[in-house]
Amino acid sequence: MRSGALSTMPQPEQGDAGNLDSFAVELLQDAPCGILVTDPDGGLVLANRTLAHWLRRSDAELASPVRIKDLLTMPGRIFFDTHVAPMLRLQGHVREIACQFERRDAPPLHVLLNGVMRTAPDGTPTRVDYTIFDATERALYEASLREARSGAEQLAAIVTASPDAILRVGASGIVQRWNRGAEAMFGLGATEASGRRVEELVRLEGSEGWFAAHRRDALPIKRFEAVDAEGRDLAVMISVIGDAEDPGADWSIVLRDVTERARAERRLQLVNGELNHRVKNTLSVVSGIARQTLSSEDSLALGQRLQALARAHEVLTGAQWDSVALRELVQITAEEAGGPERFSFDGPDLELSPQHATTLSMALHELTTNALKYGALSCDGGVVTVAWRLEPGDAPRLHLSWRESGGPVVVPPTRKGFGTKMINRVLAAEFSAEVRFDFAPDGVCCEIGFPYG
Amino acid sequence: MSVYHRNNVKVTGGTGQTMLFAHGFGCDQEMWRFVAPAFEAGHKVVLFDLTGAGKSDLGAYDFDHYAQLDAHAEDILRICDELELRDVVLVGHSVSAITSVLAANARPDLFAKLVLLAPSPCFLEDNGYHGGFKREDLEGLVAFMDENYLGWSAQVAAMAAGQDIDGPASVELTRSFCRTDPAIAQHFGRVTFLSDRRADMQKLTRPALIVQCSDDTLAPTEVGRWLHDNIGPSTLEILEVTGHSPHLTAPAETIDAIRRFIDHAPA
Repeated sequence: MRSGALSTMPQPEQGDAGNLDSFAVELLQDAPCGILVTDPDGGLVLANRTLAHWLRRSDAELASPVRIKDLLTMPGRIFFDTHVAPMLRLQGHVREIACQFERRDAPPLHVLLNGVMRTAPDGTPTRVDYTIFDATERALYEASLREARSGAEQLAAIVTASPDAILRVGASGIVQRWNRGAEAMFGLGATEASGRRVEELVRLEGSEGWFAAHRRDALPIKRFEAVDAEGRDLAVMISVIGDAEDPGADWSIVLRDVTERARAERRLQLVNGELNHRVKNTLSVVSGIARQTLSSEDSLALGQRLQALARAHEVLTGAQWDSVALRELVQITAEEAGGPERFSFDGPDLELSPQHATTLSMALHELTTNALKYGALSCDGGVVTVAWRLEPGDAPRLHLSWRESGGPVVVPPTRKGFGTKMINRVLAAEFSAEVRFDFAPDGVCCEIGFPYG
Repeated sequence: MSVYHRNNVKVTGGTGQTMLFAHGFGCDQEMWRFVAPAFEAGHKVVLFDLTGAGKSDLGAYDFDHYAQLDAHAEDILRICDELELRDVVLVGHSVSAITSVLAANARPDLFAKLVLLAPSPCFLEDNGYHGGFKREDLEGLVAFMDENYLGWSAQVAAMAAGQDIDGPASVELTRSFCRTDPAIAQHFGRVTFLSDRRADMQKLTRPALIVQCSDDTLAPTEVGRWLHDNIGPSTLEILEVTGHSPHLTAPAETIDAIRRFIDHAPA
């Protein structure tokens, strides 16, 4: 007999049937796994205490006519009927079946189920013994494994199926991975491409060492466009896999054939240039017609307005019809008004949309014309001061003020000329501007405010 | 490709009337082990594995093609054609009972009688029809199978569940029964449990025996009665058996029921 803790345990010994029984009962009832015995059809015969405790059920609830599959969740029941029961009959056992037992007032318990069919000497099934292991931890681990696997598979499928060439290269530019898009784009299978230098496989005009050059910069991401040996325009994106500072890091290279887009852009540029040219021509033809049609005073006014329009158009063309600096527009007006001695301006750098720019430059032209004819610019010493500011907030507004001073005494007009009408109507209609004229005796003042951005 | 290879076709028995056995979802032709031999004396017995199951050619399982049960019915017809089977008694279990009806509807000339073991043409509860399941129960099965197949990948390293089953032979057995490619099993499970072929049942013109188990979660007796009411020439036998596989749990009763039907019912 060994000493220590073992000696306090009931020892199975010959002739000591009582001890053996109580040992067996304890072992069965409190085993570190659930033990379940059913008849061959699955009706419960015996469930140990461990299982009853796990399932939070009384002995009466774990007895016939309840069947083992009644304890399972619905999918488990179907699986039991279609797989487990046939396997027990065909091979006499099942092992490591992952399933879930329903529990009272608790989420189902993930378990692994092992079962063995016991038979009489003549082969007739007599009962099924199951051992049931708590698989909560394993279920959690497997769920996260499945999720990771499914995420990785989906990402891999995206890369594989992409028409873009997607490559993984080592630090020295040796190709490691070469997707189907790359195979199609460069006519080279992944096996052939693997192990070769990327710059040798993807030849970009005028930059033989394009990958090495980029790697020296060690920027996390770089994008550029280049023409390859086949004459295709390629958009290239190089990004580090991992740490850009690590000299041994691998790189991901994505190449997209943008030949069509580049061609369309070039065509658009040509058309744009031609169109700008024609607009200017048309405006000067209209001026010519006006000169021949209208009285000299009217044709002069119209001609000047058309010129103002042409200048605004020119500024916009120069800016690719993108956006125009407000300062640039005001500068044109300043020249029209007679230069810095007569016209001063101040305000923050702000960009205007093409539409705002055209309308605002026409308005500035009208104000200038008016000032030259009747206002501060019509006599020596008069000046115009333009100032603008941005009023920030949820709906920012741009405020521009036009102040004349030093001119003749102002008399409010008895009728509205084209200029003030144009300013009021067009500005108000096209960009919900508020326009306020103040014909103060010492100089005209015009305040324009409109939503910005 | 020959159906012998593709569907692992096995022919036994004599020269009498042909009995063709189609196993159900989950296992393979081994399911007929306790029933088919009983008919070898008076019949030619043909067993096969459904495409995608058992030892069939798994490469032949085209997921798009087998998205409809009709594809499995076509396989039955191909077997009949290649083996030149006529006047066949077609015995289908579970989902194959349904594909058996589809096959007999397509080519009634090939079949003398049908035996439908634990059939269910629709597993969903639907407006007075008691298929037994809600859609989410059935969707849950697919997730469940995913869990199990992951667990099974470590099968070979499994712990013992009882005595003397750890030898190499038992490992071989464990692998071959009721297991197949997980992706196929999931797909077939989905096709099986989400199909609704009730309308096809009413078109059957060949005499049919419907064998239902008295305590079957998958194919409740109500479904057996529905089939009996909706299949013109049909006989209904309800066996006092638990589970979904009477040919495994009550082979003697199943054999008797089939015998009574093929020997006595008018063709």
